[in-house]
Amino acid sequence: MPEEFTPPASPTASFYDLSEDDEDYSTITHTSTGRGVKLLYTKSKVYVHPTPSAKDNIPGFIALIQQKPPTGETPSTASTPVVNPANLLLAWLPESALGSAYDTYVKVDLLDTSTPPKQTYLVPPPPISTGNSPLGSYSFSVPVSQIYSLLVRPPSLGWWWGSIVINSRGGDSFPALFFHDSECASTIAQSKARTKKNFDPFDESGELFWGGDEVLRWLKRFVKVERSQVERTVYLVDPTKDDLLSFGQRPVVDSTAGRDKTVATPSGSNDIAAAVMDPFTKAIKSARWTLLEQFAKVTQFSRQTASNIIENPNLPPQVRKLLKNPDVISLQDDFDSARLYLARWAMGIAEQSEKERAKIVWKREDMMEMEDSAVGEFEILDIEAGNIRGDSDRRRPVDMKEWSSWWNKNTGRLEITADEVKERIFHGGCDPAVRKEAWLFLLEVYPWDSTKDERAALMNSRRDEYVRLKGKWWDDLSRREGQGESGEYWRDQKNRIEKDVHRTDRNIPIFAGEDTPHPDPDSQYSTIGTNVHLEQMKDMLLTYNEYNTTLGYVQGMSDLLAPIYAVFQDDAVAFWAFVGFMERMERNFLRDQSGMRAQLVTLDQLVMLMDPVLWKHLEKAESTNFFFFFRMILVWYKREFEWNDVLRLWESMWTNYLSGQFHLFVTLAVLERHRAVIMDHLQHFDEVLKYINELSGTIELNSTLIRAEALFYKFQRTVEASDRRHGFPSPGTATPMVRLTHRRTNSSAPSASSGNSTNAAKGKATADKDGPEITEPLRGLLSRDIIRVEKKEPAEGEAGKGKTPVRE
Amino acid sequence: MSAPWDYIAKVICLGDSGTGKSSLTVRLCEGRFNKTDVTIGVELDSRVVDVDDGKKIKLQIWDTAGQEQYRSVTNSYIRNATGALLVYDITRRETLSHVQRWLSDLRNIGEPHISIVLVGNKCDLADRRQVSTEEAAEWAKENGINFHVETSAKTGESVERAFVEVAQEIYRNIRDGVYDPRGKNTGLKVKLGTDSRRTVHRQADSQCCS
Repeated sequence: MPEEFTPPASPTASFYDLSEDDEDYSTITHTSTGRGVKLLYTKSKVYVHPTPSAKDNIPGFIALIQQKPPTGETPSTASTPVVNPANLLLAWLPESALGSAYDTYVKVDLLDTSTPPKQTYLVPPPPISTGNSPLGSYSFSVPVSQIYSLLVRPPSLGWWWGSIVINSRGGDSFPALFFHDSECASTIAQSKARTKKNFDPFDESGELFWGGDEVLRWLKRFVKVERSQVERTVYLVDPTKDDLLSFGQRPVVDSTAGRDKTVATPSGSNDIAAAVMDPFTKAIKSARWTLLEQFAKVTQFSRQTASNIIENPNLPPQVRKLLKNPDVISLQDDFDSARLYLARWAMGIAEQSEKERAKIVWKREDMMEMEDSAVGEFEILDIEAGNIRGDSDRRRPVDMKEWSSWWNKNTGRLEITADEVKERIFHGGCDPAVRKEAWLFLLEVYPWDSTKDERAALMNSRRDEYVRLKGKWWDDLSRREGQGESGEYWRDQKNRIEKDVHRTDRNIPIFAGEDTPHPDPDSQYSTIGTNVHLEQMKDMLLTYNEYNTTLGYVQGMSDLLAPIYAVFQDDAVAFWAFVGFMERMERNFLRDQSGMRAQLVTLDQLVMLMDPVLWKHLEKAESTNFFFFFRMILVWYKREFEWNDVLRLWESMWTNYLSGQFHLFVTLAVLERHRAVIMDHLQHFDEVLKYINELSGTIELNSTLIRAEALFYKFQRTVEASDRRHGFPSPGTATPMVRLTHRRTNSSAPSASSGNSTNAAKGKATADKDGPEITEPLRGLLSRDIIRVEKKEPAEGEAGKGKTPVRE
Repeated sequence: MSAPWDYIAKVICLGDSGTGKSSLTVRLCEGRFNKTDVTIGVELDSRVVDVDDGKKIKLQIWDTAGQEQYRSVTNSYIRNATGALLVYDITRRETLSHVQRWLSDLRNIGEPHISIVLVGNKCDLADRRQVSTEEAAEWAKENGINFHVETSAKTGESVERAFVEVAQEIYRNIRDGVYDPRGKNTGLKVKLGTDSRRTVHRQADSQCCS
């Protein structure tokens, strides 16, 4: 495909002076000027993101345009065009600037682009610029011959939109162009066509199809486009031998690298990469976690060097902030080994980056910094996460307007399916205002198919019932004052509840105060004081102690109640919502720990199936009891995430949208995120436990949810692949809603060589030559049912039908 | 750079919920008094303390959940502890009687030579005292516990002493060769040479639950 071409001419004023070539162009003449350039290809909904705010995004078209050759050149008539790349322009134009040419752009966008359009579409020539655009206008066009390279970043984990940055031979870079594929009619059509043809949305190399692929394809028709062997995101356009050489020879940082290597920079380009390549950033960029020694090198630098690094203007802001944080220094004392400390520190940076990524739109420099960074990427999942990135609409919280629109104005009955609501909440969560209503459905206080009146009646009776239950202990003097075991037990529980309430979420404003005199002079808190919300918490937990007499109050429940109460701030409503939550959480609190054990065993099997290498390491570290996830599973990450993230996480998991036990995929996502540190640095159970315990407050929620979802799909595929191998159809437990929309041919089931044979005897997920066996608990993860403690017949019409009993 | 310790010993804190196990741990390891959250599962912290012969022991403190409901979880952490703090609250008599349960777990599951100290916490609340010092000391003696101390995690009184006492006994045992070097479950690491250490004898931290 690449053709010989004459050396490119410098862009001159002659480019602007185009006339129509009547001979060759069967034209749709542009009406206003009568002169134009040929629009070969274009793609719509390619945005410039000039500010962090999405509302400032500018939609436009990326286009490949052919202009009339300067005098003296013979225009090509061949069907395989030989076009001087100097006569081709790669341009980006905002929709607003197109005027009446807009329709032509739309039309060309929608053409089948497998060949250049037979008909010629002429549009007004775009403004030429080979450097940065003047202020206020982001439009540009650059002769293809002037393009040195493209930085191509397909959509991936945390990057909803794939992007392309064009670097010119003059050393300039144009604004990053973001491909909003979900809005782009042609990309949607092309993607669909591919899926239809191959049942595979991925291209030959296994990557997800996106708008940027098309741009590369356009260019490849006319010029040589070479992907750099070293920087996989860099595509060189018509590279010279020297260019290729300098990219090929660029030193790969390896684990033995000690000294500060100079990065070979292709002349006149990629100055961005060179500029940020201080030792620290380079360490971050290093390809694998095994390079953590690099961090050690960094910290061994003299103080002077360290401050030089801090002052480096190219240092990403989040890194600088962390370097200046005195806690970073004091953290070191917590760890036996500096290596672990460094690993932890680096993960802290990575998490911080993810948190901040949500807030800012990345400049080119930042993009470069994040490119291929092993920090923060679980690369295997990259493509998976790309699949589920969805559009930003899906991950926008459900606001009151959207919520209300789903309900009939008169009857108050749901007018869409409950599954649709769950899907939205699973992906987007709720606005705070919506929670007061939505949570009552998610927690099964209200049936989804109820009317407004039915709900009002239901709530009235629930309120009465709450008062009745509360009265049982409130009015019972024998328990309050009586002797004997029951009185003692009750007072014991009351003291415990009160104590726990007074140490639960006191940093949350409603629970903070202690200015109300304590109503009970005998209370241990009588001298300290309390507040009305703490008293309500205490009453609700005592009432639950009464409601569920077999279980009673168990520590950890106050953590589960506090967010619910804080949202409703109405004791009766919060109580019943809590009861709904406890339906699925009850097994966590069983005295024999059978429920917790069942989940930890399931987690063990899940890790063995999904990541046998990591599992092997954990086994060596005597950690396959997964006890270090005890707290996360017991109170659903309440202690790991900040308050608002907890609310968001819980409502997602309450939907059971993918699995009734999605929380185990969240656990797996956390584990995978820290996989490299664990593998490289943690050799013993106590180290793993300490490390995992201290993740509290550092985990970034959104990327964790995305990873968890990706892991679920991967798990689902693994199960299906295994079932196919074993020759029986998918089990009925698979949820009807979850379909395999993202099939990948090279779906990776763990290899048979993962060495699980020792566990065959234990009845765990085993790998034989037919691939892993899917155990009963694993298969249960595909079910959307929650697991309840068997104690009574499931109420009719409830979602608990067909539930799986707690396995012993 | 050599490790700032000669031995690492695993010490477990046991006792009813609300007796101040976490507060004692925080006081020892971080030198401050903080309201702590309800402990769920187990928390880990550590502190190096001086013992005889100029040696240093790093105490790795396993801070457990107190409620009876979590006993089977806590038991799984008892297994290879070298030392234990049995914590009660001097203002709540029942917490001392419950210590008996933890003690029997230690005797049943724990190491035969485990060093145990009985800790009466909250001695700053003397006006609400329900357990006298003498009574608790007597109780300790009867139950074969060599050391009893009253502490206040709030003021810091005697907190260090409680932990140092455990460390001293562990060190004496090491010195006297009480621990069977071929034995398992001692929860003890010994530094070997400069900047390297080896697990002398350690074993799985048990299966989940029992």
